Amino acid sequence: MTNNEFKNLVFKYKPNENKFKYVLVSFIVGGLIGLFGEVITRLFISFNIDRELATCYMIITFIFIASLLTALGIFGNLVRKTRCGLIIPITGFAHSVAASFLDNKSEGFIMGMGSNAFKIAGSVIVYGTISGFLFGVLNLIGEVL
Amino acid sequence: MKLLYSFLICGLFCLIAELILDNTKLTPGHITSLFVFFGAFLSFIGVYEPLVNICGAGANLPIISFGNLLYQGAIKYNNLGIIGIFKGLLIYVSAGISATIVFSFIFALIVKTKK
Repeated sequence: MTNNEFKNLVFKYKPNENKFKYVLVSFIVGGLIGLFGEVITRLFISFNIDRELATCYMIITFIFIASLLTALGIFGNLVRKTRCGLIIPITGFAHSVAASFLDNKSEGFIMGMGSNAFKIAGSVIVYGTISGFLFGVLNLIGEVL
Repeated sequence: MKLLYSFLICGLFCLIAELILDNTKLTPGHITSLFVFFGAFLSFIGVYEPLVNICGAGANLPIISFGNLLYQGAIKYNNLGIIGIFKGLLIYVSAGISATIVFSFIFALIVKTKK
């Protein structure tokens, strides 16, 4: 069991203390991430980058920050305190990959880091792709009809 | 105004996720997978793109947007038929996935893990 899976288990069986507090914290932290994202996007737009590309830069900036903080060991504590506020934005995705890399580093490059990189984030990619494919096919059928 | 909408929409998605996490036995892994599916669905019924136009980055950051981008990729090469779906599906999320792998890998190499 990796550190992250253990954390998830702890989340699951923790007694329900301060339910309202976590909901509020999630809302505020998630909101601030969104606000911060919009500010960064505008910063890039002010460098004469169009909005689509600026969004791309912004997302990569967030991924950079999240994986850096995870590697420094700060992000894990933040996630435990703010929960979904940091899990639902793209930072959670980057965090889970970075954490998998770090947790399995001792087992070597191939069997450790390589094969465990998407242990947690993999489900997002798999089910995202499956559902994207499913709705894409539905869209095609809709166009034929 | 986009700043306020960004705050509200991103906060709202996190709030919904937190409510699900607190009141059911689902783990964060379940919730993110569910959200991605939901994002593809919202994009399919044509709700998500207008939402992105109104809310800006706030709608681009949550994991729901991942599903939206996957669906938008799937319909990018619509004229090619079924092969177009395979060709385009991951096209927009490529930046996110590549950046995640590259940055995480580099940082994991640099940092010394505690034994």
